[in-house]
Amino acid sequence: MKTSLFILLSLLSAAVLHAAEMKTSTAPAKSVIEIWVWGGPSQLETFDPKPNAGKEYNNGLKAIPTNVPGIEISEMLPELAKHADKYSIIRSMTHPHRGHETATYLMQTGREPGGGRVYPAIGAVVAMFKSKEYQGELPPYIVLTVPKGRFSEAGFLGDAYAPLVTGGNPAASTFAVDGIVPPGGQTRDAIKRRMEFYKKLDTFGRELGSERVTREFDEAGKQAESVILGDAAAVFDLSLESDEMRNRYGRNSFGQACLVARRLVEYGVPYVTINAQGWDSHKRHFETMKQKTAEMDRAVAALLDDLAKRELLNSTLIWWSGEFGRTPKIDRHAPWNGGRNHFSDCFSSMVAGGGFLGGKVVGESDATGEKVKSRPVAPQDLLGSIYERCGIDPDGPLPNPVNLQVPVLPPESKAGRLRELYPAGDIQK
Amino acid sequence: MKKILFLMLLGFALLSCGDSASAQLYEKRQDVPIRTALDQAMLRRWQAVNLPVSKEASDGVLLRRATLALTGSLPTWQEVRSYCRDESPDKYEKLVDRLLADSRFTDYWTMKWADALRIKSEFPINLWPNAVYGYHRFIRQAVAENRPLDQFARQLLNATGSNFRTPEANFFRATADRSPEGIARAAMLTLLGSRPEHWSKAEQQRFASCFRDVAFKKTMEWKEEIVYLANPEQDRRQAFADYLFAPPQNRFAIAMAHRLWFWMFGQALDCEADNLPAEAFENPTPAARLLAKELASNGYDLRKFCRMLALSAPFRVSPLPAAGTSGDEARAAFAAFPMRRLDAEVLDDAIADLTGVPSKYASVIPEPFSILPPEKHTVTLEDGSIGNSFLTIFGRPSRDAGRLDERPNDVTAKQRLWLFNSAELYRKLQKLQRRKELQKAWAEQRIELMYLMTLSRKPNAKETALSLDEFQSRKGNYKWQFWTELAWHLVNSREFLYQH
Repeated sequence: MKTSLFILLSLLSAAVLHAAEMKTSTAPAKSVIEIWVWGGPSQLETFDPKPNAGKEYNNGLKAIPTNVPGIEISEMLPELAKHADKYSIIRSMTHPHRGHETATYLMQTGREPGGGRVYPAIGAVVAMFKSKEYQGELPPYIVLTVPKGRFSEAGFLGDAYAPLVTGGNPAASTFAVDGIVPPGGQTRDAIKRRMEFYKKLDTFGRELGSERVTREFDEAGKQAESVILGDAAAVFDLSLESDEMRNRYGRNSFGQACLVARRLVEYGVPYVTINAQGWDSHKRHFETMKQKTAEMDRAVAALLDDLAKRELLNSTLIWWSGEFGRTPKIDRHAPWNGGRNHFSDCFSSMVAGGGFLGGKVVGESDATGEKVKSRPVAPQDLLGSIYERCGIDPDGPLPNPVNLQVPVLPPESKAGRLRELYPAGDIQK
Repeated sequence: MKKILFLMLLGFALLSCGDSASAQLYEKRQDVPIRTALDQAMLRRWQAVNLPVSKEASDGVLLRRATLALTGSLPTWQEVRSYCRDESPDKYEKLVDRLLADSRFTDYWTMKWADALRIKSEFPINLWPNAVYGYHRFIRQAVAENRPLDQFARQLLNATGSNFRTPEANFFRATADRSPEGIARAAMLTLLGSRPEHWSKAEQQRFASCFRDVAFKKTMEWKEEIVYLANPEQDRRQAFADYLFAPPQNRFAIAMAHRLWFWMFGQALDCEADNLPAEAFENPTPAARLLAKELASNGYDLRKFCRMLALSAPFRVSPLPAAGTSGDEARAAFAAFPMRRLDAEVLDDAIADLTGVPSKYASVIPEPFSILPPEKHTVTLEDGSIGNSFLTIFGRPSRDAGRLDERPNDVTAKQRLWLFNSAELYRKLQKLQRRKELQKAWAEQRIELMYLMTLSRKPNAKETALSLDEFQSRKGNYKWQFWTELAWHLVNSREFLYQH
């Protein structure tokens, strides 16, 4: 059975190579940073403010102009307002699921839940396609700092493309990524010495000859050793950044996670997810938003600015979204007392870099933000656009170890992928 | 030049294989006894690929292997000592009987069923917590009282009612696809050990039609659901049960024999135990036929069946392939015990038991919060949606489809990285030194105890000398740090990480 698995994997990588041959006129994005605003961020307090809809909708909050004439965003995002030329806003995201788990699944896989199969999330798929060209020692898919946990992100692709979830707190004095950063500040020499002694003690291993289990164990050990003794752990070492740089991102867990994401992308990791927590604001919505948007605003603006200055924004694609948005009309009844609930009819996402044009708005919501007014964008349209920018054909076959004959994504919706955000002359399928 | 190098390597290889002193840690000098018809059937398999009769595993290995396979835990150092000192001829039989009566047998085998029956709150199964706990309790009760497996299967297949009050009714809810086809697929997978692909279109339709009338309705209670029959006059599900048990094949007995074998050995008897082709029922191999017959004639008794497997020759063989044979071939034929990395939950519990530091779990499900007692073993976690990153790294099953291959027992770089380098593991291992029996022990005793605790055997003279030298060559704080490091070395060793 194991042998057939091996053959299957080799076939799989051949299929990956074949599928990755799609041509784009601009170089495809090398890395993706997903900012997953877990729980459902309010579109009104971020990218789709409704200053004229009345207090029952906007609670008196205003919109502010950005550095792109004609685009206004919420006054909660003053820093992002200075960088609107670097990103584009989608104000017409829409899908039918209002439960966290089904909506997360749909937004992450582009597929309707059900049918007895769990499809892989976009992070696992990109990691699979990109792992041929990626040569780093860190895994190709890294999640900062907690897993989404709603479903297994690798789906039927299996463990090989499951993310490495860092744990730890990047805002702490050391960002202890369990398993990567050696415990107790052990030196390289101490680790080397320990490894040598370890090999001497392997009585059982010496009794075994070369066979599949021993080769698998030794190969995994070699890879692990190269991470420990190589330079990979330094990627997580934020003390290598200046205080000024760390402050720019904000000295909180989310802000520092964005800084780590930049370092990971510099290292070459193809897919990085930051799971931002605390956005499921049924109650105390406006108090929560005040703190959350401040952290988000500062960190994402710093990330965009930093990547642009390092000339990494073209090769790095950023997407920002939750599984849905929140009800535009404020719920003042008990027990919510001024909260916003789950809302998926119309909400906002954001994309930047990776060859996406900046300074644009895709789609519109109606006057109160309760309905899509023009150009609806379905989850598979957004994901399909990200795949295309990464040089992955969303209509091509999805290689998999369970012999399913399926495309990477289901067909795009009528309004289609975000081609209005592709550079002129780029792929038009 | 190349030739000389090759000869030198060969010489080294021969020298190290000839180190009979360390081979005796793992196997006895005598062959494994061939006693039953099953043993004979396995012997014929070995002969068919020209493998000699295997040596029998050493006492320590067999104690560890049986304890892991039956109870998902490691023997304590006291158990290892007293077992190895025991000279009664039936000590292994007594051990197996004691393990089968242990509550950890119930816990561990409940977990296996909970994987197969997809017990989790969240996507894509969405049982939700109340049903998770009810259903889990139902299964645990069945395993605890050793309910005959045929009766257990019929209870699942015949259930109707509230998912809270008749927990076995969750059998029909615990599938990502609740259409008749989806339920048929789940029922086939779990009870027939097969998949629709192996059957004709007409047969597939026949299976689906057995579940055509299964319907669901909500109640006023949050997440309560009633499973009922749309046409109560005629329970079509009976046709599926009839098919399972129909003579002459008795497909249920064949399916269960394959499944239980896989659960004991970690390697399929003939072909994937939940992906059996029609051929496996029409024309089973001699071993499969024997096992199925045994299971049916002993009244589908789980413990009796496990006992038979634990006492069989293939379970008692050496973990080392016989000299001059290929390890892969020997293991494939069950002539050397299949090495399997410890299950994620078992490894988590082993480290917790060893160090006295319990594991922590998290669940992103916001309501209702579960408070789990610190002494809870990971094996007993009811809900597949509650876990931690350790369990993810070590491949705990997703319980998405309930397939056996959802539990990958392979060894990955991520796992070895964690074991080499985890601060959490290091902190736990530091606590190991606080165990009373270790604090009182002198260096040499300490080394022996740590080997007994982790590898379930004494160190040999070479191993003791290596550790002693290393300890004595160190100074100050660095000297005491050695004990945590030794624990780290042992936990990282393949001998610890594999059930061998």
